[in-house]
Amino acid sequence: MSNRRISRLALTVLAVCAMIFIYMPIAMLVLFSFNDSPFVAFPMSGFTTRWYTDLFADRRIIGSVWNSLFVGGVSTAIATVAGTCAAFAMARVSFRGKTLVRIIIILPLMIPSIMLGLSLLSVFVQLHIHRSLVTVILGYCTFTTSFVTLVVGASLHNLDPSLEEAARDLYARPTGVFFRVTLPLIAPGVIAGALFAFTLAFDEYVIAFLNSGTQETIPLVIMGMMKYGLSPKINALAALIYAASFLLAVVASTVLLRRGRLRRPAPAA
Amino acid sequence: MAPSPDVELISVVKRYGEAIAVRSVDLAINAGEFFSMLGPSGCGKTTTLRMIAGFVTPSSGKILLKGADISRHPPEKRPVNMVFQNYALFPHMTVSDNIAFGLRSMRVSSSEVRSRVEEAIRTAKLDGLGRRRPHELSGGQQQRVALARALVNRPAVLLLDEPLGALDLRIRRHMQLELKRIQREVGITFVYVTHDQEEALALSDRIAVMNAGSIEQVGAPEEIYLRPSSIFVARFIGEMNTLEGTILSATGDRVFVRLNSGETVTAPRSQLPRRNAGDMVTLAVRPEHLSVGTDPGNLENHLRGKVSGRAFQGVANTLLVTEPSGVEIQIHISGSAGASFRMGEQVVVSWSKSHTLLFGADGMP
Repeated sequence: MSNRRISRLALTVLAVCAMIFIYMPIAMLVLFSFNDSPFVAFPMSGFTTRWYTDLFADRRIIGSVWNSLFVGGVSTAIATVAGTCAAFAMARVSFRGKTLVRIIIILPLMIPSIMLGLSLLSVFVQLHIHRSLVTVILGYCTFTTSFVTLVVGASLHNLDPSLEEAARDLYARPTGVFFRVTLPLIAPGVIAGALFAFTLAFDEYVIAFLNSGTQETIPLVIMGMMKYGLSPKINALAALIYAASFLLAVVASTVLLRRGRLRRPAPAA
Repeated sequence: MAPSPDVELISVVKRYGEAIAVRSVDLAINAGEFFSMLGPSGCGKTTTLRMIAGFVTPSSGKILLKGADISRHPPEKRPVNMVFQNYALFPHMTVSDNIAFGLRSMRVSSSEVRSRVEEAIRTAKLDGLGRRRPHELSGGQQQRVALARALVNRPAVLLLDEPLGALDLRIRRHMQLELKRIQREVGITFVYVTHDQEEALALSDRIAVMNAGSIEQVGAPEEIYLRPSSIFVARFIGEMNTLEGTILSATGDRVFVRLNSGETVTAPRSQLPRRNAGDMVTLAVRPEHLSVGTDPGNLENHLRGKVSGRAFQGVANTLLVTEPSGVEIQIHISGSAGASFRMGEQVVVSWSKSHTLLFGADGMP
């Protein structure tokens, strides 16, 4: 065998190992969610859907799912609108101190979430704001907005400015230009930014732990239950979340790919 | 009766900080005219076009459209449409939706939008392509969509920014004829920006030659070709031979010039009204106005040189002759006459005084 073929083979083996390393725990988790035993350990003792039934009967967990969806949904909505607006300002308007503003936008992504969580907590305490899901949402918006700003900013940067000029030349007013041309063309970026924001918010623990008061999101419940050992109910919950994420990823990538194909420049004549 | 101007630019200036993109341009473009702005890149022609479209606001001066001042109107309020250099077709819309865009902005009824878009598709020879997306079309087809998208709105003036620049030569020639035909049919004023002088000469009723933010000359193609008003225009349009010399005398209706090669040549005094003996001049003569032979013949001006090159190009063939001071002169000879000259052969290049152009050291007559 030539060196080239050996190195190709080695790379393939490495890649497969890496994939196994990443997906093995997930597969195990899904597997154990159907295991007819309260202990998460081999050998497996039989198939059951009991943990799923138990999961849906557990008010604390189901309540936390709704809380997480609420926190993720609202903070994503706010971050997507605010981040898109910020990306526009950064891309289209020239103003004094723009470099400083750019750093300020990136900074929340660099600050460890424990620091962010503690600073938020001290602000809320100082201002006598009652801690609840609303304070968690406010906390999440700080860094998810930064994410959306960066992702949408990249889309805007790649947008051919003559398309917007053409729309104005064809009598569209600025709002018409935005909704008929700009937004449809940067939609992949906005969608990607929103998905990022939701994912970040959905599994965030530290900020929620410090700022949610008595209300619980999924990560808080899971960490709480961990004190009493791994519950197969959590495996069932995780399996469902994985399934939802997988579905979302498939839909998102199909949409993004289709859009991406439309945006590629046409082949030369 | 003189046609009324459709577009007028009055002392239009565009500055970007210290840099001046357009310095005091005055233009009157007539209704129904195919008007080109021609010049090298950076001459201000595209900036001028974008000021008419409304994408660039003039630093000073006025832009009138059919007599009304539109200098401060936003692009969407101007009854002009533009064909962009890269076409700027909306990639997320079909051909039909692209063409319908302007009509929908103007809230034209949907039945009228449909019939006008269908008509535009037929006129632009895009039948059957209405439901395609721009990226599924060839370059020439995209070009026709861009044109249809603008013309369907029946603009007062159509602005075209190097619209054929992205096409390969063969389609380009075809689209030139197509553009000219469409312009004649619709009768709309075309303002056409190009750096391709052949294209401008072939298509335009009038051309404005621009250089360094100013208009050097405005005129019909023949006028600009035969009577360029500056050495810049003379060199930019078509092929041109230039020779340096000094005025010997400028009396009566004749100017006599001693070329650096030592030969004395003559031109009409009207060529160079403001110069005196001793002034440095540049003499310019087109390759097709030169004759070459073994004797001067009956033409007033001639100089000697050696044949230094030949190129057979079909209709017009080029002969290169190097004169004693080392300047290589291009001569266009029709047919196969060039084949009778040998390399290194001594020849006489001659031309009529009426084909002799003279410019002063500042590039002006």
